[in-house]
Amino acid sequence: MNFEKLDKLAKKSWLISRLTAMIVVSGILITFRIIAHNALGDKVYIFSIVIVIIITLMAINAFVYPKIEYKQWRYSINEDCIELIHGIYFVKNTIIPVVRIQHIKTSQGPVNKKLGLSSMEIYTAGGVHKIPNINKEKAEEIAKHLKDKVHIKVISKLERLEY
Amino acid sequence: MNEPAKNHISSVVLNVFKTIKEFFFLFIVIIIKPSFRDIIIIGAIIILIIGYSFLKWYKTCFYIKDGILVYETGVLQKKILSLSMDKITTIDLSQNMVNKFFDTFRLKIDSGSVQTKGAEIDIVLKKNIAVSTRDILLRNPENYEKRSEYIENEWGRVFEASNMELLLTALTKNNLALGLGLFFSMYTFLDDILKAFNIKYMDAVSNFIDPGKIMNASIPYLILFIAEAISAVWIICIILSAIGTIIKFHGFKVYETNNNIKIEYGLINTKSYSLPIENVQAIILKQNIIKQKLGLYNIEISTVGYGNEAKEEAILYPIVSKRLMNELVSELIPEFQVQPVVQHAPRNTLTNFITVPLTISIVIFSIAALIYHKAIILFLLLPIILAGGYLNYKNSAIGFNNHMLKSVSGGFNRKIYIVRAISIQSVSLEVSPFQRRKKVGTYVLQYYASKLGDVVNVKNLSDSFFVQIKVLLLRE
Repeated sequence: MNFEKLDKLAKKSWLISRLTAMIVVSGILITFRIIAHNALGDKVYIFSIVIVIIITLMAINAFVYPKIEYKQWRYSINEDCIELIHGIYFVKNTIIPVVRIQHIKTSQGPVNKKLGLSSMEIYTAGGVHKIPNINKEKAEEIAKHLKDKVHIKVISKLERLEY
Repeated sequence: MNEPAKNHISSVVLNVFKTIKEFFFLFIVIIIKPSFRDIIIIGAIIILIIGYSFLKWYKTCFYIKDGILVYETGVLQKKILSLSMDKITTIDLSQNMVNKFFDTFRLKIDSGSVQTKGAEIDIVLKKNIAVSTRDILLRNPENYEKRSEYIENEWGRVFEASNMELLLTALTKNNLALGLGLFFSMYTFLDDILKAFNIKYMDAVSNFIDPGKIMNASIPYLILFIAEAISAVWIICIILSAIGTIIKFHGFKVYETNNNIKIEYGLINTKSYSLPIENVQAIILKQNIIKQKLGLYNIEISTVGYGNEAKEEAILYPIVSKRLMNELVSELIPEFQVQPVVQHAPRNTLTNFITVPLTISIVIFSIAALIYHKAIILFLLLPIILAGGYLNYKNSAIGFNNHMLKSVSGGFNRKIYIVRAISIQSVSLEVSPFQRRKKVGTYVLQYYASKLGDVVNVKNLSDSFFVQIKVLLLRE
């Protein structure tokens, strides 16, 4: 099976969006810590520890995880099924038969718009699966390819049933 | 049915009561300390609610046009829903006290869409119109004439639940969890009421219990106190649960008629469901520890549109023994009769089942004990957590044949899923570093369920099944 990687800019996309989230959350927490300094009394050190833990985890999420996630993320789209492999500590391998696909959605956030990337959501009757940060043109091409495949599969299945 | 049918006029009354119920707290607080301005506000709100409900009634209608069920709604913005009659998965007739008074039924119609929360069509009709509408919708419009006669007469075996069975259902429920859940959900309600009367919660509690005495009590006293409190809550919950279950499921019967499963029950609120057999995607058997010991099961079916509303359970029968379960399945959903043989989790995975919950619990209990040293009694729960992990190991299993997949999971609360292979939408295998060495993983299977997020999840099973399940999925 031929697996493909995400776009190389995926790491940059994750870094920018997570770093933005980190700066916003840190700003809110630190401002709250300064304003509520007196109100927190002797509990102020517990609150400071919690803030440090949250910011550290968000920093790891922004600076360390993108590299690992990019390394782990692989996907393959063939005649019958889509296979996704991803995860940091827990590696998840998912199989979605093409005939089960209900519809496909591509989306772009502000960061991905700048980088020319798209995320693809694959909907089945049981839930949604996402392939993040792939090249926009490629995402559209895959979405069209899958729509055609689903159409052909459904028609041949209906013909089989009628036969 | 070609003429547009409207909601019964009583739906205006029902809608007014329903909306007022949502603003209940606001009314209570205002009524307790009323002022002229508040009374004017309440009056204006009630007039608005009545006006809105009337407009809603006026704008809602449904009719059948060329085999398509058309449902029009919307007060400010008109919405038209067109539903092909062959896409209907569930037709549900229910009657509460108000409906009984007006001799009406609430008719709910669901299609296969799992994205929609609740029924697509929800309408109140006069009894005879509701029943005839349901019968028309259940028939295939193409051979309406041919089938109309035997629809009325051809019933399979009728399974009726006795009051003894309902009592057994209530006694074997997780009454303690139910009671504690009820207590916490009631807490906010009680708090609002007490605030309205200017009573502090702790004052009300301290009339019965002295909180200071408890905080300073010795550990054995604390254990005894918790045990007594839990026993008292448990007994009250069992009594309430027994009464509630008997009222809710009174006269429960299930039978097959013309390829539909019909389920009817209820003393005060009567319910009647019609579910096409071909739309049953899975059977779910649930057993808490009491039921596991007694060999009893809760049997539920997964069919889109049934059991997807608040406080609605997708039950096929309130409680069953293995024998009754086999009879129900062979009579109502024979496709599920031949079930696959399951393979259990490998022996070397016992530590995986025990280590994770045990480590998490020890960390949480230690932090709690550092903050409040008497929380050390929480460590008494460790044997229970250990037993839960062991039971999970004993239960965890998966098996499949060409048409069905069966999975067993859970510790004290065991869940057995029997899913049609064609209903499985995707399969995932999640592997942690601890599982990788033992060549096992956690299987997550999404299937065509009544609720998004209803998934089959089985831990620590051999990763070799993954390829076999993939083949099964691609074959269907």
